[in-house]
Amino acid sequence: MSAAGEEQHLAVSDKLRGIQQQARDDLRNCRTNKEVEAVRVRILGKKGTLSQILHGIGQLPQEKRREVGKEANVVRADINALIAARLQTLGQQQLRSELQQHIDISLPGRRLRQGSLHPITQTGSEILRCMRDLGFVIVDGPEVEHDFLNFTALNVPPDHPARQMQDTLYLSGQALLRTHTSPVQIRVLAALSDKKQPRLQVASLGKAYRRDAVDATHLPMFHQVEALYVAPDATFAQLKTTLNACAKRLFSHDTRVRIRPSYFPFTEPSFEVDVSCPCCTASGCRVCKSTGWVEIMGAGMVDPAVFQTVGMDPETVRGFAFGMGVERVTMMCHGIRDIRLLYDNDVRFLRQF
Amino acid sequence: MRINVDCLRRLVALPPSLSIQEIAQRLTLAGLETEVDQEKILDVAVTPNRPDALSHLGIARELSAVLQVPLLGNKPRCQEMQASVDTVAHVTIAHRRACPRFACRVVDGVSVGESPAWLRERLESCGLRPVNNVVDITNWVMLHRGHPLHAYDRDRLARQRERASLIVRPARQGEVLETLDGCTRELSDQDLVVADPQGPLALAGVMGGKRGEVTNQTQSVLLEAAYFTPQVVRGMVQRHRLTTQAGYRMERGCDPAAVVDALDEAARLMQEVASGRAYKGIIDVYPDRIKPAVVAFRPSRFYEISGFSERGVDQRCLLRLFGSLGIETIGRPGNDAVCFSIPTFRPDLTREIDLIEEAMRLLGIDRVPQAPLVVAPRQIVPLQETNTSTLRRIRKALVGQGFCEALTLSLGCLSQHEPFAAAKGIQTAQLHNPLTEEMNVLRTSLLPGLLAAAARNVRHGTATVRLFEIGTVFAAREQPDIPPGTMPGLEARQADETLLLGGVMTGTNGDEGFDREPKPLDFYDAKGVMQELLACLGIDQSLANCPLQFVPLPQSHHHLLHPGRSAALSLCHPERSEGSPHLSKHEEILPRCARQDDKQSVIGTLGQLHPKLAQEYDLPTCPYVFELDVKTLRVMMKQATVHIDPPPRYPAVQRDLAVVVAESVTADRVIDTIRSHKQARAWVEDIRFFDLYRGPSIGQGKKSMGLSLILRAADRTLTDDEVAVLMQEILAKLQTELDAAIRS
Repeated sequence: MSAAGEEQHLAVSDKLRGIQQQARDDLRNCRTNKEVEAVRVRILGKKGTLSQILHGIGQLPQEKRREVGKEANVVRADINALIAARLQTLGQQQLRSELQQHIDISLPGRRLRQGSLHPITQTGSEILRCMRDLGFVIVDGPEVEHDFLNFTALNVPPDHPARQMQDTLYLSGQALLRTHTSPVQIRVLAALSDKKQPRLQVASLGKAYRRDAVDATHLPMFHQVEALYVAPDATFAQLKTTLNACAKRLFSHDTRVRIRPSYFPFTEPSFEVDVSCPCCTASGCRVCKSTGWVEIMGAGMVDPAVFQTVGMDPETVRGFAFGMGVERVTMMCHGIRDIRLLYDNDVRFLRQF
Repeated sequence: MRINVDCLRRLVALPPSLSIQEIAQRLTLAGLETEVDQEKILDVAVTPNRPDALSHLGIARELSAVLQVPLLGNKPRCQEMQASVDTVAHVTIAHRRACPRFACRVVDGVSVGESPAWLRERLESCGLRPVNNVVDITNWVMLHRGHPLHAYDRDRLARQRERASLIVRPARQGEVLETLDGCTRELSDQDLVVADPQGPLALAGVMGGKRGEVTNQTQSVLLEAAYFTPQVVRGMVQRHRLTTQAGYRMERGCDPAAVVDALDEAARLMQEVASGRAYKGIIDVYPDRIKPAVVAFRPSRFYEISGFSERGVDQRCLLRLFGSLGIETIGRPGNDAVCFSIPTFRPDLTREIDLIEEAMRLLGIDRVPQAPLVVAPRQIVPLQETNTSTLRRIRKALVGQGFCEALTLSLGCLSQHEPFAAAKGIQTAQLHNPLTEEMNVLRTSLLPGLLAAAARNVRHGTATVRLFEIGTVFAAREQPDIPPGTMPGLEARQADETLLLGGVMTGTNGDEGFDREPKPLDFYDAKGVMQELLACLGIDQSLANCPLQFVPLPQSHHHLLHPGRSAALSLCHPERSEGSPHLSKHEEILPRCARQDDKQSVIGTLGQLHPKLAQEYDLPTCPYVFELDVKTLRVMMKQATVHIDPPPRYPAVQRDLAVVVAESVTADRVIDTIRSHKQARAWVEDIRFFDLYRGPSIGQGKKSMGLSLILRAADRTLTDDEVAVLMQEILAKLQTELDAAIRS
C-alpha cells in the first residue's frame, strides 16, 4: 500500500465526514419538504457532492476503492436516514400546525334551502291517509257542478231554505261552483252498476266555494273532505266507530268525541261532531270558547231521498257520510286564528310548515 | 233565537236545581246548539228544519221531552166585550192554497204608548227593539208562542158595510205597496197580499204596509194571525230580499193550530198594558182544516239503523218518548208498524226516518254502542281513483329545489285573466253573481295568483321567492240544455277543468353564503328547475326519443312572456319522431286548449315574464314563471319505465373543444350535428357546455362555445388513436355543416 494512496484515502474519508456533517447541519435548517428535497439533490443527486466523490473513486488504488466505497455507502445510508427523520419531523410539525388552524364555526353554513308543502296540503294528505287506512277509496269530482247534483239530488230542492245557508256562486244557467264536495257522492252512486246490494267506501278531497266576503273566518273558497259508506247493513253504530277512529287519528289518541244531533238536508239523522279541544285539554281557551269542545265534522246517515234520486231502494240500501273542512282542522292543529294567513302565501309563514 | 230563562221556567217545570249551563248543554246534545249569553239568556242556533223551536214555547216543549218534565203552559184567556167581532170586521180568503187559515181579533179603546218596563226588558233581552206597546205585544207573542202577528189600525182600513173588510189575495201585476221599512215595492202576481178595498195593506206573512200602520193616534187595533204556505212566503222573501222575524218563521213553517192562542194572548196583553177591550169572538177563516200528518214507524227499522238493541231500548220506552213530543199513537196496522199522528207544529216529521232521528236524539247519541266497519274485500268504484302519487312526486321535486307551495283563490278578475285566456285560445268562465269585481271570473291560469303572491312577498321584504301551486284552471263551455229538476248526464261537464302546475321565481339563484354573492336569476335557472322536475318524475329528457322538447315560445304567448327569454315545452307527435313506441298514446291526453298544430302541442311554457305584466303586478324585476299540464306529466311518468343501469365498467375519455359559430347556431344544433355522426352516437356519452364567449377577438355576430365531450365504449377502453380519429371527423362535420371555426 503506497503512502500517497493512504493520504488520498484519508482525504476522501474527511470529505465524506464533511459531507455527512454538512448534510446534518443543512437538514436541521430545513423548514419544508421542498428544502429537504433540495438538500437531497445537492448531496445524493446525479451531480451531488456524494456522487462526485464516488465518481472520483476510480483514481484510488484498487485496495482502497472497496474501503472507500463501503464508507461512502455508510454515509449515504446515514444521510438517507437523516432525510427520512427530517421529513417525519417536518410532517409531524405540519400536522400539528394544520391542526392548530381554527375557523369561526359560528358563521352561517351554506344551505341548500328546501321549500315547504302548504299546510292545507299537509293536513289534507293526513286526512286522506286516515281515510285510506279505514278502507276508503279516494276519488275526485269537478269543481264546477250542475245545480241538480249540488243541490236537488242532495235533497235540497230549489226553494229549500238550506240554499240560503250556502250562498252560491253561479256561472251561467245551471252551472255553479260546488258549495260542498258532496256532489261527488251523487256521481259515485249514480254511476254504480250494482244498485241492489252495493258495498262502497269512497272519500274525496277538494275545493268548494261559497259567496262569502273575506274575513278572519271566511273565504269564498275552502277545502273539504267527504267520505261515504254504503252497504245493505250500514248502521249508525258503525258511523260512530268511524268518527271516533278519525278524530283520534287526526288529533291524539286520548281525544274525546261528542256527537250531537243537527241538520243537513242530505242526511237523516244528521250530526255535528265535536272533539275535546286540542289546545286546552278542556280547561277553556279561545279556540273552544271555553267550552272544551270544538266542532270539526258533519255526519249522518244518507237520507232515503238521496238514494231514491240515484235509483236505489232505501229499504235495501243504507249508508252514512261525513265531512270536514280542511282549513278548520289545519287552523286548530296549528293554532292559526285568521284563515287569510293560509292564502296570503307569505314565505315567512309557509316556511314554518 | 234568544230565550229568556225566567219566561221559560213559567212554561215548563224545569227542576230548580238545573243551572242555565246545564239547560244549554241538554239542548245542545239534543240537537239545538245553545250557548249561555248572559246570566238569564240562552242563545239557541235553530237549524232550518226546526221552525217549532223559534219560540219560548217551542224550547219549553223540547225541554219537556228531553228532561221528561211536564209543560206548564195554560191556555191564555182574555176578557171580551158584549159586541161581536163580526160587527166590526170581515175577512175573505181569495187564495186558499196560499193562505189556508186567517184569523183576527179586534181590540178597541187602545191607548198607544211606551210599553211597561218588564215588556221592554223582555224584548231587549231577546234582541228586539221596543217600538210602542201594540207593536211590542205582537212581537213578544211571536217570541213567546212562535206565531207571528200583525196589528192594523182599524180606523185607517177602508170599510164595507161599516165593517173593516180584509181580503187575502194574489197581488195584481204592477200593484205598489209601501212597506214599513219605507221601501215602495212593486208587486207581481206571485206575491200574496192582505188588502182592503182600497188596495194592499201587507205583504202576507212578511211585512206590513205604511197604510194601516199602528200610530200614536190609533185607538182600535185589528190583530191578524194567519197561516200562509211556506213556499209562498219564501218566494216573497227571496224576490223582495226582505228578511223579517215574521217571514223567517213563516217560510220555515208555523203551526196553523197556534193562531187562536196567539190572538188570545195578544188581546189579554193589550187589555193589561194598553187598556184595550176585545170584541167578542175571533174571526177564523179556515176552510180546509190542515190534518196532522200520519207516519208509520217500524221499531225493527229503528233498531237496524240506529244500532240500539231492543234489550237496551224497548218498544214501550220508544212510545213514551214520542208521547212526550206530542206525537200520538193512532194505530197498529201491522205486526211491526205503529202509526203516529204528528202535531202540526212539527212540519219536519213526515217520514219514518225522521221519527228514528227523534228517538235517537232523545235517547242520547252517547248511548249508542259502537260497531266495526265491514270493509268490502273488492270494491267496484265507478269513478277513477285519485292519483295522489304524481302530485306527491311533483311537490317533492319542487320543494327540494327550494319552492314553497302556495294556495291561491280560483277566483280572479277578468282583466287579469283575459290575456291568458287569449294566449291559450279559451273562453273565460265568468261568474253570474260575483261578490266583487276582483273575483268575477274563474282563473284561466295559475300565474296571476302566483304573481300577486310573489309581489306581496317582495313588498314585505322577501326579495327571493320561489312559489309553486298545483290547481285547476277553467274555461267556459257550451252547456247542454237540461230541463230543470232532472239528473244531468254524469259525463257532461259544466266547464272545462284542467289541472296545472304553475310556478314563479324572483330574485337570485339562491346560491347564498357569507362569502359568496348569489347571481340574479336567469332563464337557465328556470329551465334547470324544469329539467330537474322532469328528471325527478322519471321523464329523461336527454334521451333522444323523449317526446318532450323545449321549443321557441309560440307567437300567441308573446304578450305574456319575454319572447327572447322564454320557451315552450312541447310534446311531439308521431309523424315527427319516429320509432318511439309510446307516442301515439299522447294524442288522447293532450289538453284541448293546448293543441298548437298537427306536429307538436304545447303542454307548458316557461320564461321571463313580459316587462309590461311585471309592471302591472308591481314587481320591481321581471320574474321567471312556468306553467305545465299535470295530466301530461302523469301519463308520461307512467310510461317512463324505471330501468336502472349499473355504472360503466370502462373509463371515459374527455376531449374539450372550442368552436366559433354564428350567433344563430344554437347549442341544440351543435349537439345534433355531433350526434348525427354514426360512431359519435355510439361513443359520445355526454356533451357539456362549459363556456360561452363573445368578443372582438372572434368577430361580430359570432360566438365561441366551449364544450366537453365524454366518450366511452361499453365493452372496452377506448384508445387515444381511435378517439383522435373520431374527434377529427367530428370537427370536420362541424366545419362543413355549421361553418364552424375551431379555436385552438
